[in-house]
Amino acid sequence: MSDMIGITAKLQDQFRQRVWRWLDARQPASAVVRLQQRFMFVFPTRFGFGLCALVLLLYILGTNYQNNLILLLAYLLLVLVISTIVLAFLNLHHCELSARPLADVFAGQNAGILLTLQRQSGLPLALDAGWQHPGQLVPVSDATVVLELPAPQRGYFAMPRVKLQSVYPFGLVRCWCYVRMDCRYWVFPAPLAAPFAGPQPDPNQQNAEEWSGQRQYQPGDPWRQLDWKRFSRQQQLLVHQFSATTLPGTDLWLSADPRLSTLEAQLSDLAERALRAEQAQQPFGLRCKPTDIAIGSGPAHLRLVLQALALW
Amino acid sequence: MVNAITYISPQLFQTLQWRLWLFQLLIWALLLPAYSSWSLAVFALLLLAKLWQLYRGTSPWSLTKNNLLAGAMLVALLISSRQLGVMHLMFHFLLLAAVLRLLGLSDRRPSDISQLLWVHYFLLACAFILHQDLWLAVLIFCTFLLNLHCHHLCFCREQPQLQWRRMSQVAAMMTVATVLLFVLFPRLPPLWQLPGAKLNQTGLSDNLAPGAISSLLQSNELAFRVRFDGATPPAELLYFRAKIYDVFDGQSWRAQKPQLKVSPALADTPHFRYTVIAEPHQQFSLFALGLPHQHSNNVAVNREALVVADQPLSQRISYQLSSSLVPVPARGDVTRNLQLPAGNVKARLLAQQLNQGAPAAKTLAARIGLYFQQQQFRYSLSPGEIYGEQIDNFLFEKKLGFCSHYASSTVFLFRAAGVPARLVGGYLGGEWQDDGAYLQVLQKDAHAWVEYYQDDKWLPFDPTALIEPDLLRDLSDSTASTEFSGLGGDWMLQRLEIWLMQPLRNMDYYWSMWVLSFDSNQQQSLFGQFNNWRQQLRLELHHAQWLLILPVIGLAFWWWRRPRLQPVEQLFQPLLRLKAKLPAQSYQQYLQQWAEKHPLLMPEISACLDEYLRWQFNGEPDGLIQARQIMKGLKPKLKQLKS
Repeated sequence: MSDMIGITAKLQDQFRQRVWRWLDARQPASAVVRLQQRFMFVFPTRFGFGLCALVLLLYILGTNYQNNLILLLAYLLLVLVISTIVLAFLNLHHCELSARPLADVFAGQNAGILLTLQRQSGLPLALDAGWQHPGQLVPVSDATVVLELPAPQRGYFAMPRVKLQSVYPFGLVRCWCYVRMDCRYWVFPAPLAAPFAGPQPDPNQQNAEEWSGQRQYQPGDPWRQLDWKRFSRQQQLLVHQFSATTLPGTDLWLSADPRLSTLEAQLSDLAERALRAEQAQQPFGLRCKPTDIAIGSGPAHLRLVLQALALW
Repeated sequence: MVNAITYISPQLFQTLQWRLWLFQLLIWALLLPAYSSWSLAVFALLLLAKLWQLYRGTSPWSLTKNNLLAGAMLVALLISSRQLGVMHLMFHFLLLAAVLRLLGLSDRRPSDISQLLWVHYFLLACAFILHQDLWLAVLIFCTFLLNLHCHHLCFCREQPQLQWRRMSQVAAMMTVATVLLFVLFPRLPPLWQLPGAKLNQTGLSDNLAPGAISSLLQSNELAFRVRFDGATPPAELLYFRAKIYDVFDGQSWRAQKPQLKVSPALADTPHFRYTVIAEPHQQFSLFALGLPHQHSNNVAVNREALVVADQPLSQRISYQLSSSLVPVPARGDVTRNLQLPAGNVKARLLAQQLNQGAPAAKTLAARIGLYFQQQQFRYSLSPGEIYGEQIDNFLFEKKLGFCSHYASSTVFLFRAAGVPARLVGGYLGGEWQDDGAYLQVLQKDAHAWVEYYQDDKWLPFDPTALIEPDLLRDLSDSTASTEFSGLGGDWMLQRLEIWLMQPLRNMDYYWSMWVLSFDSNQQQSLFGQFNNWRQQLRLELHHAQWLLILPVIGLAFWWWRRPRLQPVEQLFQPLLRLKAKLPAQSYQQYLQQWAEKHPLLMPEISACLDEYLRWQFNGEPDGLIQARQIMKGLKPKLKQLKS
């Protein structure tokens, strides 16, 4: 039984993949997508089918009573249903959908993407569209919506497919398309101060400490500063060294703190230190592979550093 | 999740509710013939409740309240179902559903609105069952447009601005498509019988008491209309037979029981072909001249040559007949037409007197007519009550009455003299309308006359016509001022009303002819006509076609393949004509060359260049428009240059 479910789920997945690939061929991702017939679909809604059933009913009623006026009404409703197929299509046809990320976010927050729908040429028809996505949609103005995507992980993500649909004008026919936008957003690692950094060091304080390397153990070194992890693995006794925070005006190089157990923790710590340095207007650089990021300051430099951290 | 279907703004919702309420008010008024008195009041109360709710802005009714009321109404309706009839019961159910749904409409469940709109469309069809004349049809159509508007509003977020141009385009296309469907879509005969409306019968009833018909004789209601194909009979022969009355009980005549239907035999006698459009009168009997030979499928002819429908007529019907104005052959037993009740002794004596010498029935008829004329009988629409023995008092004392008095006494005299006779109820004459296009027969043209038996035929005899020959005259412009108009001062008002209403009635007639009675026969004949036209066209074209078609094809091909300019070339056409551009040059260089050569034109050309660059490389469509304008301004200067 579970096999069957597994198999059907797999088949569904495969089918979905096929559909996405077919759609990708028809509508390649781009920054601004113009809605075209190639990837727009129309189908009657439940109300549309209900009205078709009403047309049939009225035709039978008119035939049985031999009443031409009821037949006229039936034909009129049929023509209405058929015209809405074209009207619903024309409503969205040649609309332009553009997306841009609102701001760079840190992991754990919600990434916001601004989606705008507008029409360049032709008469401005009343646009009525709904968006469907697992994320959260927040209306901003008439044709602008912010798509909120949860961003638990750091990285450089592409926006997923958005389904744009509309039932205007009479709610009889739904016109929809799956739009893939070439829109990417950054998620930086969440800044998390390392647990043993102690109280938030005041950059103006003289005796603030920054990790600046390791040296061989010499008797008399404080126990707390021993690298126990290394000892348990390699039986080497090394002591962490701390130097005072460099004064403003001097260079600061950031590198991964090996005391932290996971890579994520290290990156979070680095992010935190970078933010602090920028806040203190301290020029800083980042030691990372393959190339270090040179010393610099300013929001652009900070962004560069955070991007490097996100893609570590 | 923002979903287009489920969201509707509160102000729009309020507006929508008001308009839906207006629609329901109109539908309630349109379904008026279907109510019994208490249901009319109940629906009025429910509509008022909704008005109160809208005006006060209170919350919509809860589902339980709705269901309770629906249950109570259902029980009440089912109890009175026999009185209402099945069709009106369905109307009540539908209207109840619609009204209660509107009362409980809330914007938290907007999918209810689509169900409400569905029921509204159905209610419109119900209104069409009850009313078919032109002006009410127009009103129902306007109500349909109101519902369509509400339907459109339902799926907008805010109040939309009306785009008249686009809306009229769409409406025009939809109208054309609907008319095409109406004309071309195949017609089926009725698939099964549906219940008709149960309304009061109008027109001649099954009981003919002399006084009863007097109210009919003063009514200006339309009974039916007739259009003749070809020859029309003279005015004195326009007797439309509707019912036959056999049995006299001293006070009133009772109509025959329904007779067997026969398929009439074709005859060689000259006959008239005509179409009758009958108003709904909730009865089986229809109207025909003389002896019908042929009839259309929706009616039948019975043994006594009367035309009958297979269901009580609840909506306007149109049928074609072909009949000849000869006496109807007698079928079956005629001795039952000698039945007489006891009493009226003097009349029986008179009958014996007139029958002296046992003459032929025709002679007897002539004698009866002579008796009426010599004894100074007069015609009046309001002769007053006749008490006691009806026939005796009329024949010997009153000597004043209208058609039913004369006819009923004549039948009595015939029967008392031993000649089988019967009373025929129907319509006489009518007014020709629209320059003789059709004959309009009103209820006041109702008439009663006699048929007596001779030589295996029923010969018609109209005693009233002998007394009042004006009845037979063509009344289209008559100013008859005899006691025929026992109406007094109302007569002027009636003439005025007829004069005002007549153009509207004419439009109603054409509406009936073209739209309402468009059935499969007419469709076939339309197709036939179209085929004929096509054949004719084909014949005419056959010889001339090659002379016409080849040049047309050539022209079309040349037009399709004509060298078309790029938008850029089109833009700079005035410049390019004077000096060609080298293929290696870009337009920028070309324009700069121009500017250098003709420094006078420098400002325009550089402005044009700027706009061109903006359009071409910035993608601003505005640039093209500006560049075009500048080039337009440049043209006269270029002309000067050339000269």
